[in-house]
Amino acid sequence: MTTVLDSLPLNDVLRDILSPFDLPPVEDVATRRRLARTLLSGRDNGFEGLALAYAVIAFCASTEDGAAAVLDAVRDNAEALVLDGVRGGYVLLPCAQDQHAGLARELYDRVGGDVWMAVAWAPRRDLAAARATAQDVLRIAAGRAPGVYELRTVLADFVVLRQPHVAERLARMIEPVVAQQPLLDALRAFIAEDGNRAAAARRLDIHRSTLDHRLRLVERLTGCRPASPRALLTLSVALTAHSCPEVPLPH
Amino acid sequence: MLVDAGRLLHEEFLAVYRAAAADADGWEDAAEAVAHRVGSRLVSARVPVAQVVVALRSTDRLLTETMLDDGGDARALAAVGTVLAAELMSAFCAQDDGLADALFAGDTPDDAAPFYTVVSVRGVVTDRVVSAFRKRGPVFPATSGHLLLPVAEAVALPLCREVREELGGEVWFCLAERPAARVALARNEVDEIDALVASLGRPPGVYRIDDMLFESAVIRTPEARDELGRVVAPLLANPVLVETVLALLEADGNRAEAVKKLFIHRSTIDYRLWQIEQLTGLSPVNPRDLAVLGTAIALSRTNSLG
Repeated sequence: MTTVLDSLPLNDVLRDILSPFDLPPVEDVATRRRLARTLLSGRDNGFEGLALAYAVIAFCASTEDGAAAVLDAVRDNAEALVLDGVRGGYVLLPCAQDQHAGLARELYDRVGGDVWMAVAWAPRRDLAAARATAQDVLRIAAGRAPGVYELRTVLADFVVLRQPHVAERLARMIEPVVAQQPLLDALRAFIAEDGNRAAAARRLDIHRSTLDHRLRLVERLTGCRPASPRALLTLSVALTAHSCPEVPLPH
Repeated sequence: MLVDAGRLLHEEFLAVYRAAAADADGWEDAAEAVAHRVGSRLVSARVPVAQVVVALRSTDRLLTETMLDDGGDARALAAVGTVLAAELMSAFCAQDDGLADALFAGDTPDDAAPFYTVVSVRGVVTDRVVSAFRKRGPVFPATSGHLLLPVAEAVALPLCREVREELGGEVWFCLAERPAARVALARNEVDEIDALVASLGRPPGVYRIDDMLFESAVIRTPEARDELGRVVAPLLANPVLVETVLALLEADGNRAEAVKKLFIHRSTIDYRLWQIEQLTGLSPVNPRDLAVLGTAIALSRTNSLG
């Protein structure tokens, strides 16, 4: 056997150069999970087979089966690293910049159902920040329809979660609306229907003029006119600031 | 505590006018001392200077006439009014000198109020604003052009709206409240709000952080700032799309209205909106995404997105 470089066998050297994804086998779930945890906590252990950058996909599901379906979808992927919890977890996929949203959507399409995914991208050494971002994005997404979310789609809510004094002011502003269920329902429906009055009234099974009246009351209580996109964003973010429960993600 | 300026002046000044009417020895010193004491009290009770002027005028007329009727010394009575007025007014002006600058520099004088509302002024010379505020209560101008009002933001807000109305024209006020020891932070805040108001092209008015919560929170959150920069970069390369976003935002998301503003065909705007979504990943048809796009454009114009 030919030996090169401090008497390492040539085959070993060639393997290190040519196959960068030389991770523990997919059957070794525990080792791979440890590796995912190490990476997500921001420690790059210099493991030979790691990619330069990853998409961090935080996910949660309304049921344990839903979460299991996500894990099943990546079980045979030798490149995917998984840190799983009961109803949620993280999937790390090697990924080039700007490809992460597509990658997450692909995964989501294969799973479907009541699953929420938040995706962020980072070079390997910045994965802790990407994890924190994905976690906050998922918290916000969990209050919306199932699907794939990234920072830009929940940006306003995200900055408010990160600025507690702003969140406090907004939560105080929306408090009188939250205290009146019919107003809260009207506002939520109007937001969920992207500002479409007719659709919001249908969703609530109320007359359109009833909805208009309730939205006017919301305006009187908050000073924000729901028909204005900027004000609707403020109202929507205020609802997030008022209540944004934690999501079941592993530590 | 409410102070009845007219009654206070009458009670305190009666003895002084009597002494002057009799042209008693040392009435001038006594007048100065009394006016100084009463002036400080009125200032600390935050009695508006305009109210004091009215009270002073009527008190002077009443006491002078009474003393003249009793055969008082006319020359001394004429002089006493001037001495009292000058000393009284100096109490209102003395505080102005350097208090605002001292507070901004981090010094908190003993006689400082517990908290202040800092006001930034744009679109009008500061002197005019100062005198408009002074008619309504104490105001402390700083050399930086900011004003300090020794009241809470909730009180300062209607006051600022009133003054702005009186001044008329294109005037912007931004305000923020902080405890006396931290007014420098309030100044930073109003400067930040004012920069945003200016670059976002908001109409003349009175603004607080509440009106700019989202924008200022974005600026303070590095991840969000970077992301917004990435969102908007492909848009900025295409002025027509930028114009479309802004027109749609101004029309509250109403496409028919935006079409009229832009002098384009309905199908043209639909195509542009599709392009915007392809480039940014945000849908301008969704009001919240539209607001985010508008903010991204505005912040990029302030160079806040790096």
